[in-house]
Amino acid sequence: MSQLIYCRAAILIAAVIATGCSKEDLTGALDKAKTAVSENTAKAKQAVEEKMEVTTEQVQEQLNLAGSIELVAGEPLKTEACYVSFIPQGEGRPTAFQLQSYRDAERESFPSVYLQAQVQANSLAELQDEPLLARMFVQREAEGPILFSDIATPIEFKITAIADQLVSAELTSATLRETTTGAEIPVSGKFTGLIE
Amino acid sequence: MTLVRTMRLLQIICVTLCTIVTSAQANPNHKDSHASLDAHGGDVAKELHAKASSLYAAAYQETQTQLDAIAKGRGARLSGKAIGQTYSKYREVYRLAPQLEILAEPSGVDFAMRYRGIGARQWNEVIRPFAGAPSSQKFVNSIRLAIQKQTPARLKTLEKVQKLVSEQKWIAAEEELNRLFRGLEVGICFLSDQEREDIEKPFGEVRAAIDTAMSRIRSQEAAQQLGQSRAQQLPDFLTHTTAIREATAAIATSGQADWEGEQVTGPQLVEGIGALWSEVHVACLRCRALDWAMQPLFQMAGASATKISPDPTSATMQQDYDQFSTVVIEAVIALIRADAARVSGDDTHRLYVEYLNSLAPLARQVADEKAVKAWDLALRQLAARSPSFDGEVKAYDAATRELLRWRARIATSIAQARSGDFKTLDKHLYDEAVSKNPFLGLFPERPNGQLAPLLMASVPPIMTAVTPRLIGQQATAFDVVRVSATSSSAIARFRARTYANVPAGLDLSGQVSALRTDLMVAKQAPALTLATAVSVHSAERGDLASVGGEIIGHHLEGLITRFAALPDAASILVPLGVLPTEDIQQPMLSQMLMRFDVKPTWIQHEHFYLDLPAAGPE
Repeated sequence: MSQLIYCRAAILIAAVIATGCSKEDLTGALDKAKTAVSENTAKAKQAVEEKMEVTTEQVQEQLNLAGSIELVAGEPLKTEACYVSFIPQGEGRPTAFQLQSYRDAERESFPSVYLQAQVQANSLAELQDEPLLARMFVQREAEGPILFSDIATPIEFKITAIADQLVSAELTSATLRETTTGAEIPVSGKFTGLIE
Repeated sequence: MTLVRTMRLLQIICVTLCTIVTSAQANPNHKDSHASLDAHGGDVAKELHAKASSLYAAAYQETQTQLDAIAKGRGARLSGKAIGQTYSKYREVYRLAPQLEILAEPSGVDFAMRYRGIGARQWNEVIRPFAGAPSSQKFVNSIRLAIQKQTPARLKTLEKVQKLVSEQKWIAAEEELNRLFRGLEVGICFLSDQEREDIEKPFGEVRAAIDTAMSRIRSQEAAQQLGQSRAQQLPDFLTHTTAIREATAAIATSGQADWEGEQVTGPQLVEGIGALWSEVHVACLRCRALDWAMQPLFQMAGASATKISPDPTSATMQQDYDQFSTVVIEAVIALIRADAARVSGDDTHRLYVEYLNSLAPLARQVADEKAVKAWDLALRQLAARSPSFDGEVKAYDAATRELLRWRARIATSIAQARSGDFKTLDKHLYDEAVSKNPFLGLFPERPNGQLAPLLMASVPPIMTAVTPRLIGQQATAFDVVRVSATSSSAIARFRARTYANVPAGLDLSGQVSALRTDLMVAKQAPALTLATAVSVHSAERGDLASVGGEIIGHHLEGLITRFAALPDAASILVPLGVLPTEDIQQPMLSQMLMRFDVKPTWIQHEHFYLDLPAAGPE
C-alpha cells in the first residue's frame, strides 16, 4: 500500500516538473504532494485499524467470547453471539431488558433472535432468579418464516447468573407461532449474553 | 385555529364522502351496468350529460320492452310510432356524444359506442323486422305518404339552411337542420335504404359543412373553458412559498407566526403547512386531469397550443409542484431547527412531543421516505438541546427500534403467506376484463404494451360480463388510509388504475392496545420517536399497509373524470409529493379506472397482522 502512495507522489512531482513551473509553483506543488502523502498514510493507517476492529469482533464471536443463544424450536438453533442490554426509560415507563443475537440491525446475521422484557428494576442484579415475561422473535434465515410470541402469550424466562460481563438466562416456558403456517411450536433453551 | 379548521375540514369531509359515494353511484357499477359514466365539466357539459343520460335510459328501457314483446311473439302489436320514437332517442344521444367528447367527457365515448351497440340492436331486431312485417305495411305506407306531402316544406328548409350556411350562421343552421331530422327520423327508419338515402342526400353538403364548423366552434369553446378552468385551479406556488418562508422566519425569531389570520406556534404551523400542501396537491391533481383532457385540443391547435394553456405537456406544473413539495419538506426541517435554537430544558420535552404529534399524521401521507428521515433527524437535534431529554429519547429508541423492526417482519411475513390466495385488484381487473374474441373489454386481446384499461366497447356489455367474474373474488388492496379520524370508510390508494373503498372502524383495539404496551406508550407517556409516533397514530386511526378480502362491488370511472372532479378531502387518493403520470400519446378520453368495494377478512398494519372475525348471520 505504502509503495503505491510514494509512486503517486513521485508521479505528481514528475508531472509538476514536466509542466515547467516557476520556483513558487514548484514549492506549492511539493507541499501539496507532501500533504497528499501524509493524508494517504493516515487513511491507510485508519483502514488497517478498522480492519483489525472488525476482525476482533469476528474472532470474539467465533471464539464464543461474545455470548451465544442455544434453542430448540422444533429443530435446534444456535447463534454465534448474544448481547444484553438493560435500558432504563424516563418517568412512567418500565425498563427494557433485551437479548439479541446481533449488535445492531446493520450487523444482523442468521439465525437471528430477539427478546424483550419490560421490567421494573433499578439494576440487572435485581432481576436474577425472578420469573420474567417477554416478547420473543426467532428467524432462522433471512426472508424466511419467523417464530414469534403471540401478544396474549408472552414467553417466560429467568436470569440464572450474572458474572463479570456475562448474563446467563434460560426459557422456562415458551410457545412461539410460525408466521407462514400459523403452527404453535414449544421452544426451550438458554442464553449467554455479553452486557453492552 | 386548529378547532375551527378541524370543524371546517370535517364538514368538507362529510360532504365529500357523500359526493364520493353518490357520484360513484352515478357511474356504471355492479348493481347497474347501464348507468352512464359521470361528468366532470361545468354547466354546459353537465346539461348535455344529463340530457344524453336520460334519453339513453329511456331508450334502453323501451328497447327492452320491445325485445321482450318480440320474444313473446307479440311483435306485431307494437306501436310503430313508439318504436320510431325510441330510435329517435338513440339518434339524439348519437348527436350529443361528439359534443361531450369535445368537452373531454369520457361519457361521450361511451354514448357513441352505446348507439352502435344497443342502438344497432334495436335497429336490427326491432325496427327492420317491424318494417318488413305485413301487419306494418299500412303504417309504413302512411309514413311514405306523409314524407311525400312534406317534400316542398322540406326543400324550403333546405334552402333556409343553405342560406344560413352561406352566411356562416352555423348555430342557427344546425338547429334548423336538427329540428328537421328529429321530425324525419321517427318515420324514415321504417323505409328502405334507398328511400332514406333519397331523402337525406340533398342535405349531405350542408350537413358536412355544419358538422365541420360546429365541431370547430365547440372545440374553441371547450378549449377556452378547459383552459380557463385549469388556470383557475392552478395553485399560486409563488404566494404559497413566500407565505411559508415568512412564517418559518417568524418562528425562528419569536416562536410565533401569523398563519391564515391566527397566531401559531411551530408545531401548529407544521399542521398548517401540511394542510396547505394537501390543498395544492388536490388542485394539481385536477390540473393534471385537465391537461390530459385537453390533449386532442392541443393537437388540433398545433403551434397555437399555448394559447389554450401555457403548459400543454404539464411539465411546468410538475416542476413547480416538485419544487413546492421540497419547500414544504425543508420548511418543516427549518421550523424544528429554528425552534431548537431557542429552547432548552423542560421546554425541549414539551416542544418535541408537540412536533411529533403534528408530524405523525403528515408523515403517513408523504410518499418520500427520505423526507420523513430528514424530519426525524431534525427532531433528534431538537431533543439534543436538553441532555437529559436527549438521553431519554435515545433510551426509548434503543428499546423500541428492534421491536418495531421485528413486528414489521412478522406482519409482512404473515400477510405474504395469506396473500397467496389473493390477487391484487389490478390483476383481477386485467384477468376478468381483458378482451377475448368475441368479447371486447377493457384491455386488448393481444397486449400492445398498453396495460392500462381503456374502453374498447360500450360499457353495459363489459360490465354485464365482468361483474359476475369479479364479485366474490378474494383480493388484496394496499396503502389503506382512513378518510378522517371518525369516517366510516377508508380508501386503498390509487394504484395501477384501481382504488378501493374499505370499511373503516374495524375493531383493532386488541392489537392497538398490545402495540401501545410494546412501545411503552400510555396517557402520560407518549411515543418519543417519529417511527413509534407514526406507528401508534396510524394504528389508532386504522391506516393500514394492506387488506385482504372479498370484492363486493365495483364501479367503472373515466380516468379524466375521477381526477378532474376530485373533491378536496380526496387528496389522500394519491400520496403527497407525487402526481400520476400517463402516456399522453394514448387517447386519454377512453382511459378508465375501476373503483372496488372490498370487505376485508384480514388486515396488515405496518406493525401487526390481524384476521378479522367472520361476520355473524345478517
